[in-house]
Amino acid sequence: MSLLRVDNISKSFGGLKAIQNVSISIRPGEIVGLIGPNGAGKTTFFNCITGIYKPDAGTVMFGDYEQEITGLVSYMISWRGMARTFQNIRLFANMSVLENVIVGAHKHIRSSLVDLLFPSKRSYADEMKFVRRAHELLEFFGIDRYANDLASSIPYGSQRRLELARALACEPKLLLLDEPAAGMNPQEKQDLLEHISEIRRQGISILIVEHDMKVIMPLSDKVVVLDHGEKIAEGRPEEIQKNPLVIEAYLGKQ
Amino acid sequence: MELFVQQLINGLTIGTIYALIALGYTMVYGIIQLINFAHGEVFMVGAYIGLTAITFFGFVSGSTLPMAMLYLAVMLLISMAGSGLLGIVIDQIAYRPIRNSPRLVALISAIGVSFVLQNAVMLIYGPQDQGVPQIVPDIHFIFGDVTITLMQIMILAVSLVLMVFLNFLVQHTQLGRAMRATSQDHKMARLVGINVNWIISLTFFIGSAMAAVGGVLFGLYYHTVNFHDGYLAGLKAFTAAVLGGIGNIPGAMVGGVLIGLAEGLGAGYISSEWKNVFAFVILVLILLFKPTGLFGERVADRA
Repeated sequence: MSLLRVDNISKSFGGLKAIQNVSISIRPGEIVGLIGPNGAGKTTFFNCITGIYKPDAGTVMFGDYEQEITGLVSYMISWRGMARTFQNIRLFANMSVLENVIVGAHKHIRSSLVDLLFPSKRSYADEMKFVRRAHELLEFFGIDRYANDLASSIPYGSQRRLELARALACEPKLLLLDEPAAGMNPQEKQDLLEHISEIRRQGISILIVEHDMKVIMPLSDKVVVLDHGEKIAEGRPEEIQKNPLVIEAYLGKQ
Repeated sequence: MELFVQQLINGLTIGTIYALIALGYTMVYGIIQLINFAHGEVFMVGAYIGLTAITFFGFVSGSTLPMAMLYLAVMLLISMAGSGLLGIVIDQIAYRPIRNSPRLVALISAIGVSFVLQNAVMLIYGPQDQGVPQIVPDIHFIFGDVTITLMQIMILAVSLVLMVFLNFLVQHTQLGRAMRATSQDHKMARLVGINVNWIISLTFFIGSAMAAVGGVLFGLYYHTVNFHDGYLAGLKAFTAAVLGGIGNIPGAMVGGVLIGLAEGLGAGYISSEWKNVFAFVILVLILLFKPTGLFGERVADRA
């Protein structure tokens, strides 16, 4: 039984085959690393799963009952329990740190026009619950002191953490991380490893794209390698490190 | 001094109406970076819907104040609902199919919608001015040489309540957060689970409903409506939105009031024949010297 099952998806842009027949499956609670040289199609793969692109072929199944989500609009996929972060930070820059997290919990907040025009105790209590939850998440990532600052005004490392906090706010079953350690110093990377391990302990599955093997190898239960849009290897981290095809893709033929 | 205070009151009254219309321009621009040039027509249609509603319910002049308030409320609600839906329909028909086209395409589409609405209203109601019954009793409060009418007080009160409500909605509710998130980054908004198309429709609804309130109040204030009232009022409200910094909601409110004041004081001290010139002089001056408007910071990198 898998939480995410991707079968043979392909996506081309004009003549460029960005990904071809890639399959992957993730079990509940698993961390899967996705690696590959630049241009291997990792981000395109993410975009196909999260509904930003519609794959040309193949299927994506997601959730406890393996429902098909291929080509759904991204907000619907988000509602089913998938959240992601970006390689380049995409916070809501003109909103406060706290609001960024609350907006992340959008699908859980009942805020219909009726609730708005006739504010009930229940909708107020709901709102308070999410404010508390948002503070908890900010505390978890050690950035609660910035809660009322503008998201664009806090330090880079904290912005990265805020992206994670926002993604977790919707209580996802699967978290997709696109190069979460990019631009981080060794200490920040260490903190990130601990945060990710803690997120996994809460039962959330993670698919992570990362160049830094010091991040990928200790975390991943399984590593998938893409090269030129195709899957060239899949296996346990220690097997992948020895795989001649992978070494060739990264270093070229000897 | 009396003239000054009197023109201040008159300017403030018409200024809050411009502000109500300007909100629609600025909200729609904030969400999809489109100048909805059909918005002035939505204001005009709002006035006609209000008039039709009141005719339908058979209003008789000279009712008591509570009855008048009830009629006004009915007029406003029906007009808001009708115009709000019209706003959504305009977006669906004229803008959504060309969402990813160059801006000029949407602009031309907007002008087309504008012609359609003007001519539709002209065909239905005729080209002549339509009289609007005196619903709010014609009561004058006189302080020395300064007069303020009950209608003016009503306009100020209704506008103020709506603007406070709108500000609260945008700043302090989840719906408002979703709107602000959408205005900054559609793709990311979708990824956190926001139904962006729904938010865009809702923005059109709210903006158009605000314009409808402006239209109803405008009709009651001047006692007539005409199918091309929307053109001039729309352009002035657009000026107000630019003055405040387009995309900025409090900016549109302040901009509207400032345009109204400039018009009132200009009419009082220079000449009322020149009334319509002042707003556009301001438009030219802002575009020359501060194109981002008073509170805006975004036009420069987007325009």
